[in-house]
Amino acid sequence: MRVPEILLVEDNPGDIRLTQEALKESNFNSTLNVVVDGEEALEYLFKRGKFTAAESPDLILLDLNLPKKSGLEVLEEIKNDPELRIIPSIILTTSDNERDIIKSYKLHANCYIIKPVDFDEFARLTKLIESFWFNSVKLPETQH
Amino acid sequence: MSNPGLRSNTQLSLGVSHELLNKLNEGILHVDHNDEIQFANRKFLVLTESESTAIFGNSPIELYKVSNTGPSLDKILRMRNLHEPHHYEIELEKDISSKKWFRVSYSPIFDENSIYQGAFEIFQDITDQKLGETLLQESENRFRNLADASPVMIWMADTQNRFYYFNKTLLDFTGKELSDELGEGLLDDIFPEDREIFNNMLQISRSKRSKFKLEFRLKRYDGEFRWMLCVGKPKMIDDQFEGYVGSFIDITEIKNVQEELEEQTQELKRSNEELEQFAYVASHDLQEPLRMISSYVQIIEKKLHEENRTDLDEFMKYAIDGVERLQELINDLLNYSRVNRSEDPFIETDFNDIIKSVEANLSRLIDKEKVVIDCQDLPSLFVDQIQIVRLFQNLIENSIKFKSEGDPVININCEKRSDDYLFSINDNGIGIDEKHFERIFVIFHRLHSRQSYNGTGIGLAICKRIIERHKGRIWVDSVKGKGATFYFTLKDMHNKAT
Repeated sequence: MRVPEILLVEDNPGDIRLTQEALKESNFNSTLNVVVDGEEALEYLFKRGKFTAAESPDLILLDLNLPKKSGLEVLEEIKNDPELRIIPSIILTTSDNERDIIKSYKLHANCYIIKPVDFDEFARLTKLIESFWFNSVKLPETQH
Repeated sequence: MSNPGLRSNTQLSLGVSHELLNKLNEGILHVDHNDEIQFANRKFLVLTESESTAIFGNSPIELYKVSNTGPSLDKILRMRNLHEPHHYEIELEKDISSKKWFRVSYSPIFDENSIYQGAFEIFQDITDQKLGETLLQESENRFRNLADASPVMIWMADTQNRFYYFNKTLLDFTGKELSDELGEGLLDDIFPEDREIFNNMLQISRSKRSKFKLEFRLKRYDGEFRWMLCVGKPKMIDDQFEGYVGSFIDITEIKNVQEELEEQTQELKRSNEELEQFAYVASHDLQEPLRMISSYVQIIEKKLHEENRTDLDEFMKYAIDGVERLQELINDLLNYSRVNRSEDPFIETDFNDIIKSVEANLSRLIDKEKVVIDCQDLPSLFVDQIQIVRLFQNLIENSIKFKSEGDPVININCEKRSDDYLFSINDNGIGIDEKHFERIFVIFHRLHSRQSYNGTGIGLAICKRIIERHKGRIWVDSVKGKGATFYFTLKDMHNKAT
């Protein structure tokens, strides 16, 4: 079985490092790829520019507050694309703003998670995401 | 009552009998060429409560009393001596309790040779009519006194919207004579921009015969335009439209209070919104570095118990970075909240010195980034010196921070306008998209990620607050990629610390 690929769209290096640590703790075998702004995320997903050789991810972790293109704009483009829209896209953000939550779900986010302040809690959530989307859920075999 | 005697030739020439004259409802007197009473009919004696014997041979003039309102005795005598027909009104007084007004018609009699023979005088009792006139006059006077004593300005206009009455209060207000304001004269005193509105309202209301109410500005005697509340009501007499009667009330004070209240409400609304923003930052912008600190401290704690202590330095760096960022946010927040609490007085400040201070404060950055600051000669104004230094420093720092590829060039200009100064700070940086023009001044709004441009999102909010404390305005104009120009206005607030 191939190792699942996760695309993290996050501009804060502190948060990137935290996610890496959390994934390490989960002991789940996955590959983490990181892009640091909205435009880079779309280039990666549409395999443009320096990402022509990129593999389509099995899961997208998307921050909302991003430079150049916001997380919501990225989400909209993902869900408007017939190929990309089937990739589970999870909003991972500090915003507990009700409008952000509603907008995300209206754009068909697969779920919305608020980053916890506590690292152990963050690690637990990361593990939960992986086990749910990679173990519990049945996704189409030939999605790519 | 005995019949009065009469000279036969007169009686013949008249051809009317005493009997007939006695039946008439008017008082009749006949005088001879010497102006002596020869005959008085019954009605005359009743009207004047006279005995015929008492008046015969006398001149009627002796019956008359000099009255204030009627003609003088001299005038009556003069007229009689001309022997021409005429009328006059006189007041006859028997005693104090019995006064009567008469209209007298004097008709001279001439013989065939045009020799004056005397005259007939017809007396009509007009006491009731006179009384009515007096009452009317009194009522008119009462109205005028009342209207003139009223604090409200009162006017009346005819069916063609021409003014024909103003009370004293109104004339005292405009400081003009009644004759100046009559007709359309008043319109000249109305604020030019309000004149048409006023006229239209009058026209429309007149065509509908409806009540109206409007506010406009009217020039007072001292030249100051004051806000008026005008109320007009159609004047209907026996269902007939007779024009308008209305009033003006000076509502300038009320309006000022209203405006002040509106301003305060706006200010309250603004500070409420700011408070909400503060609450937002407490839970988000402050929480973010806190999350970094707590998460990394947790990781560090775990690693301390493990054999493998790699990456510890890196985790430490993230924790410290969070602490620094938290500190930066708290400092900026404090600065922001202090702007309005400053008690520093507004002192006369040479803005050229302000720029020198800013250049000194930023000298290292200016040298490093090879910044060229081109500054026009600037005025001296009464301001909070420390805050204005901060204002320029924030704006210049921003221009340098958001530079484009070339070396930053900053132009500072100032233009004196009619009641304030317009400052502009122009740069050749990356510029700002028009859709962000408003947002950038709102606290904690940042356009860029912290990785590309560091900052707390408070700098421009502080600038806005400083300018607002100086009763000015700040805004930006820019084309994305082609630099930005920040504008702000400052009034010369001489000694006015707020």
